[in-house]
Amino acid sequence: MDLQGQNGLLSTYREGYRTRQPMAFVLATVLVSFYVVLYWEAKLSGWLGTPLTDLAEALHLRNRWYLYGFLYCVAMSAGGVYYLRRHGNSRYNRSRIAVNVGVQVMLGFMLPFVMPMFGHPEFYFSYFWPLKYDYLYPQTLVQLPVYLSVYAVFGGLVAAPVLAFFFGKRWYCSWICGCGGLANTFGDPYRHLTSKSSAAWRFERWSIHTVLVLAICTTALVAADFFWGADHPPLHNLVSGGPVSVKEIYGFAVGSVLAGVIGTGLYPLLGPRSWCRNFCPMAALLGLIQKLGRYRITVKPDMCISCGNCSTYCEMGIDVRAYAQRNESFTRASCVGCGMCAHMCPRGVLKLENTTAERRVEKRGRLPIVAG
Amino acid sequence: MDIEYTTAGLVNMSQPGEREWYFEERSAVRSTTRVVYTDAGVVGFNMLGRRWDHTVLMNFIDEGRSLDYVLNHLDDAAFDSEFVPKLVFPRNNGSH
Repeated sequence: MDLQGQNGLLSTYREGYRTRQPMAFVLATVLVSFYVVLYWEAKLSGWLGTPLTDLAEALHLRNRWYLYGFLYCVAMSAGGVYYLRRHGNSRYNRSRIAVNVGVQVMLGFMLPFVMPMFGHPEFYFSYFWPLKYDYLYPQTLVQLPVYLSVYAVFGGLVAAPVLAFFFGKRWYCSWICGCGGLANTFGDPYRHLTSKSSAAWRFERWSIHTVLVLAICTTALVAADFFWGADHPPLHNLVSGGPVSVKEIYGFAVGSVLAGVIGTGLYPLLGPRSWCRNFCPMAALLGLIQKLGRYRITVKPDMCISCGNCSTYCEMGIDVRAYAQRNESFTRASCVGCGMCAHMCPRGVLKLENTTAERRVEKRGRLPIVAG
Repeated sequence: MDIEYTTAGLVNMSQPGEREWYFEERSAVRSTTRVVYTDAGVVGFNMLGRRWDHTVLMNFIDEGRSLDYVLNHLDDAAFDSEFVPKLVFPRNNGSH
């Protein structure tokens, strides 16, 4: 508590683990080490043995991935309590976190754990292509029962984009997705660390769309391999034959390094959304649709007092204050609609909206910044 | 302190012929809505407990809208965050 008796916003960032002081580096090291062991336990077993697999078996969780799922749910639930204690005085925040944690526990852990007991494959209903990149591989679709193949194709190619058009990408990134859910609960203490610089925005636009292109190319190559690989050995070798192939490299670079080690392991240094903001192909795809769709943040004119809470609390590094100062309602591709800018505004200047087509144009004022 | 407060136009009842429409909401949201008007149209709004877009309220005043029109279109000025229930008030039941 502040000596002046003030426990306002300014005193919430004092703890060293939230401000890139030594404790934050210790935490980041622990998290990164955990992910390294999780992903490459087999390769490290010469030095370490298999600690996570042993622990998973001791807990009757089958393998280390279910142990990870269990820990993930624990972290999200504990973080959800933390989040609601701080920001739960808003109906939007309460609904959002309740749904997000509920989806993760039920669809992200319990159901995939139980399904094999009833002779069904392990399937994650809360993940879609291109985030879950193998759900559109023909090999996967052929193996899955028909209802799951239909769900994977329809969900990834139809439902997700259509919902993003009408509600913004927040329906997924802030309400359903486990990555976003962990960032908004367990990662909430670090949300102010996301860089607001123009350089970070430039990097984001390049990196996230690059990963989207890589995801599409990888999926296309894997499909080509499925249909023509048997007749064309060079194609097969390039895509999936051998230890160094397109499929393996994408899984290693994007699935393990960017999503896990960097995206989550570096929460205390880069902020909680570095994966979502810079690398997630699903966020890139839905973000492009969001730019064309109905979602926007509405700014009430001539009300901003430039306190900067909105920009500080934006986990995607959007300089919300710059728009508020210019009386400019806006839609940014990266905005995940967590609602924290509107929640933190002391004057109620900002509002998240799903508008109608006419109103979106009529009330927008100047054209939005087009890219990004 | 957790108060939303919006005032637009003139609400001090300083001119002859001005009357007020008042409604106190006691539901999940507690709010008061006060509209000052004359025969020529509304002249001011005094709102407590909810968020309103003052630009829309000022448009009502500038366009000389009648009290009935304003009460029917008050929703256009609502600026409450999502999932906050809309303001519902009984028609013809405010204290004129």
